[in-house]
Amino acid sequence: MLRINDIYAGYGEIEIIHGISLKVEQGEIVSIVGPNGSGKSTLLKSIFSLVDIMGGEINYLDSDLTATATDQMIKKGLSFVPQTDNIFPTLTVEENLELGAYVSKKNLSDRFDLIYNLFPPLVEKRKKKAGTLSGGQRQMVAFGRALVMEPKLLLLDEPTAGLAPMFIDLILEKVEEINRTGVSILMVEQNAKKALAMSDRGYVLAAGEKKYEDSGQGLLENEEVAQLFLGG
Amino acid sequence: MVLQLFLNGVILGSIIALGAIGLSLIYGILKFGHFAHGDLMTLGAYFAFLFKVQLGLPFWLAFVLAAALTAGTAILLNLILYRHLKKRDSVIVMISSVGAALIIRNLVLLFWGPQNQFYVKAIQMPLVLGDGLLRIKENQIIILVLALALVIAVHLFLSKTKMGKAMRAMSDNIDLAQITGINTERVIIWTWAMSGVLTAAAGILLAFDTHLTPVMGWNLLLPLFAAAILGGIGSPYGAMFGGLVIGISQEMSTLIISAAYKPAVAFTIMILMLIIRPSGLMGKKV
Amino acid sequence: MTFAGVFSYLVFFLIFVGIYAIMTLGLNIQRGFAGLFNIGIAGFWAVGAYTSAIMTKGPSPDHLGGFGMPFIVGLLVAGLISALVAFLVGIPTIRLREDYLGIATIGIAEIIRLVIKNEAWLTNGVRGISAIPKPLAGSFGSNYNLFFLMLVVLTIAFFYYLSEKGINSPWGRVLRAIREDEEVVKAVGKNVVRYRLEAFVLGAFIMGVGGALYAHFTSFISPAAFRPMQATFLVWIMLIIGGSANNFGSIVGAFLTWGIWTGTEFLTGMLPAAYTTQAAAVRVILIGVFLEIILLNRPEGLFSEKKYSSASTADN
Repeated sequence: MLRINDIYAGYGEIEIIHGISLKVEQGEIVSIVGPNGSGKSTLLKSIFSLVDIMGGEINYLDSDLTATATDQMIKKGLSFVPQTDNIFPTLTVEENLELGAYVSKKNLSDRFDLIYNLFPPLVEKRKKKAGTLSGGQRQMVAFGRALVMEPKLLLLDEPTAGLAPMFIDLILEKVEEINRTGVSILMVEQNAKKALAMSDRGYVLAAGEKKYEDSGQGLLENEEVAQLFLGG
Repeated sequence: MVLQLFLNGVILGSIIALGAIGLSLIYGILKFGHFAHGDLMTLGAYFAFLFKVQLGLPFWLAFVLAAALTAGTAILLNLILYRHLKKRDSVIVMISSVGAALIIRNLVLLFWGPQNQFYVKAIQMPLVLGDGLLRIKENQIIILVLALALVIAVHLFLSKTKMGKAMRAMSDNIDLAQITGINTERVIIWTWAMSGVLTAAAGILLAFDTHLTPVMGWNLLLPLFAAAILGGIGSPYGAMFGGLVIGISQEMSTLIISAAYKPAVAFTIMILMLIIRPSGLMGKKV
Repeated sequence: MTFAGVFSYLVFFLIFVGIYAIMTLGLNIQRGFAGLFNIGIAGFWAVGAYTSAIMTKGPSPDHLGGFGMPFIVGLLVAGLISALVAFLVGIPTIRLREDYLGIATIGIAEIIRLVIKNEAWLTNGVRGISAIPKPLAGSFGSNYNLFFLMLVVLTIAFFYYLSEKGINSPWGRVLRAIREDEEVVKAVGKNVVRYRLEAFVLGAFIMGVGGALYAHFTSFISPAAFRPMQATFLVWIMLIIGGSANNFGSIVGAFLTWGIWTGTEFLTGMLPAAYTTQAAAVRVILIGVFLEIILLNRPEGLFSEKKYSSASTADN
């Protein structure tokens, strides 16, 4: 459903992604792993038009994303959870979720119920400002906000970054749970082993280029990859 | 005496608060200090003068028209100037707002002249309360009531409406707001409109309390900024609180220092805030 | 209109251009090279003017005085006091955002104006200080203004040289690097705030000297003379037209802008006297619109920044 062809992207005059191609099929979990500075975040951001595209194509269900503005993405069924600053800290948990429904004119209270079922700890924190929550809970809010509009494709930028170990497995479990409801996932992850273990396919990036691509299992068993890139 | 000064301070503070809310919103969402904000106050006051005194319309209508025109002016300034200049460095857009301030101020001077003007010619007898402890004019009661009403309206708008929440969200994080699907251009226009209305109201109330003069708004620019900074940039509620603090401090300072130095009070509070806690009392991290 | 008359007017005109050029050179260091937003220029101008006046006059019942210092000392102290004010304002505000410095400079200019207006023991309040001694008055006869123009030109040359030298030095390189990308400079371990503060103070020193020269030329200063926003705004226009970060541009910008400004005065001067305030307002509106047009279309001005020694952080 998502096809990236030979994309070049970066900031202003600085090119960070040098010609990467990748794809995500319906219903898949696809992981992008690699060392720091390999351009993984930039790649996700380029899908959402948050960085400058210098060349190549991004096709989503036959729609050219390079010509789409960031605020139009959610209407197309794409949702994004950035790595940092991914909630509105002065707004309450409830309001954060409401904003997830910003583009909708309908009453989405049943969607909100679903989100609270997915992330029970948020129920008692509904009226609290999101910025006062713990790291793990904030991540839940970030996810929740991204899921309200029932996206077809969810982009996650290092969903377990900075979380306590207990939360890492919890969040990754939730990602699988979300995938089972029919949402395709494209995920950048630092915890490469865990990510690849749950992914249908994976890509290994280094220095802005694609180095390896295979099934999740395949990459885990690949000795070169393990040696060079799978630190954690 | 102290009580009277306190009351005067609350009145001045309410006016400053109304102006500072708009300033803080613009700061929070557009990330720059709008140096023409004081002169928008002046413009609002003079528009009301045009409609009420020169055209003889009822006060409420003059108020509404003036607020609408000022909102329009604010949107226009953004459209012609700030929107384009924001992409260059921030000093350029700020100096252009200084220029806009100068232009507005002198347009007012050109069309209405430098002399003091009044909405109403008659002198008002103050109500005396508590055995001469407190004197308050009818005007001032109206000012307090109107200011309170507007503040409540702002609160309801920001907390209950979709656009209000979008504004607060944009102030928190522009990128995330776009990711969420918020049309940031529209929010920006709404922000300017709202700021324009509140600022015009502040100007009209100020003129109502004292009088009109082309430099009335510019003279309050420093207290406006001080209030916004004190309350925390980007926090409209902080601006309300900051406005009251600045107003009360300024009036009560006359107990200790000469009245001529009142403006210095706002400045001093602002500098102290910047040294001790730059993010303000209710703001986010600088 | 005799030749002598025209020539005399030209000298008078150029002296003002020169004084404004000095102010612009000072602003150029603050804004052009350090990227700072100073809209309180009138305050430093006033500090310089009043300090030099007080320093150089004999005793007077109207204001603080009696130091009777020579002209050059007056200039120097004017610069130093102005620099001191900049230092005090800069410490809490420079490490913060640009707009905070901006509003702080407006504030300090306002406080300076209030002090000048209200502390009559110091400044004679609204009545101002008169009979400020001109250097070497009495010599040169009717050619005195020409001599003063030479003084101004000398001062410009001195500050021009100082600024160019400073910008080309290691100090200047760091400053420009900060303006380009302060995060990189911080990462190298340099104290960004200190460099900016130094630039701010240096620029203020120059402005103080400019203000002092103004005082000695006009011989009379008062709070009304410093139409603050006008003076401040004119200097900014001069900087922007000339081209930020170009000292030669600053001087050219001063010349062009003052020419346009006095030009408008000529035009409106032909109107009947009843229209004076309106005429003044129109002039300001015109120059304001002029600036906005320039900002929208050619904010880089006439002269772009010269290629100084490498502006990268190649120090490391």
